[in-house]
Amino acid sequence: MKGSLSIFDLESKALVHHIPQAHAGAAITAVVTNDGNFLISTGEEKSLRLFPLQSKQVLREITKNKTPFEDMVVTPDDRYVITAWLSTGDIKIHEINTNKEVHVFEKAHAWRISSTAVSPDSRILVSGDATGEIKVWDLINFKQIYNKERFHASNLDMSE
Amino acid sequence: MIKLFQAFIQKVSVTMDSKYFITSSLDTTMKITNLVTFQTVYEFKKGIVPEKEHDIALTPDGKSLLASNRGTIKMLILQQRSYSISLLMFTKVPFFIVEALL
Repeated sequence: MKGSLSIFDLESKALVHHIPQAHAGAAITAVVTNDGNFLISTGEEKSLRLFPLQSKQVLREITKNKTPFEDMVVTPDDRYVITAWLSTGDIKIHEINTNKEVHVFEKAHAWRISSTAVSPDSRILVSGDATGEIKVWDLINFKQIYNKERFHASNLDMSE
Repeated sequence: MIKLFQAFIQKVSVTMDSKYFITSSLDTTMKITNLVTFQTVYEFKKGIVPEKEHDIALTPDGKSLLASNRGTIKMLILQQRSYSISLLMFTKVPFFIVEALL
């Protein structure tokens, strides 16, 4: 079913959760928090939603935007969900427990953000884009600490 | 008009000790870079990761790195040249690939 989310137990292969119509359009990405309490997903309708898995709480819409999400990652300490946005190049950080937008790296990348990753200690965010640019962000003080254009450009070959 | 960037960063990943990040590109190269000094400690030559859109992931035990695209899966086992350390540790360089499947 379009927009539905399903979670399977990896050992028994049983369906343990099914959320029909979780999104109005197709579900794009989904991740389960490390504590197993929440499922966070993005949808075609450009919303970021949180579904409690262990309680009877209702779903929460963390945020909604006019442009699509490019990538989403949850910090290993389950404190933040970090989203990269396609058109603006922004990287937004929301606190999972409060829904609060705690920081935005505005125009973090000029081109499409193709991948993001958070360090296991939840202190560092690394982002990369379509031009090969890499940026590293401090998630404690919310500042950029490294930037390198054409990080993989030793054999750069751009064509039109 | 669409520009095609071979340097496109396809995937970034951070090692379990939070000391290094790994990047792969559409040009099929891969780099391992120190997260404190930002020095690239090793750069893998072209062809180490599958062509076109792909994914890379470190196994939780840090011993292996999986790289895949549609139709191809590579399992890369990285060790220090001494063979004496079996875990994926980046305290010394260079590293080399001792096994690549498919």
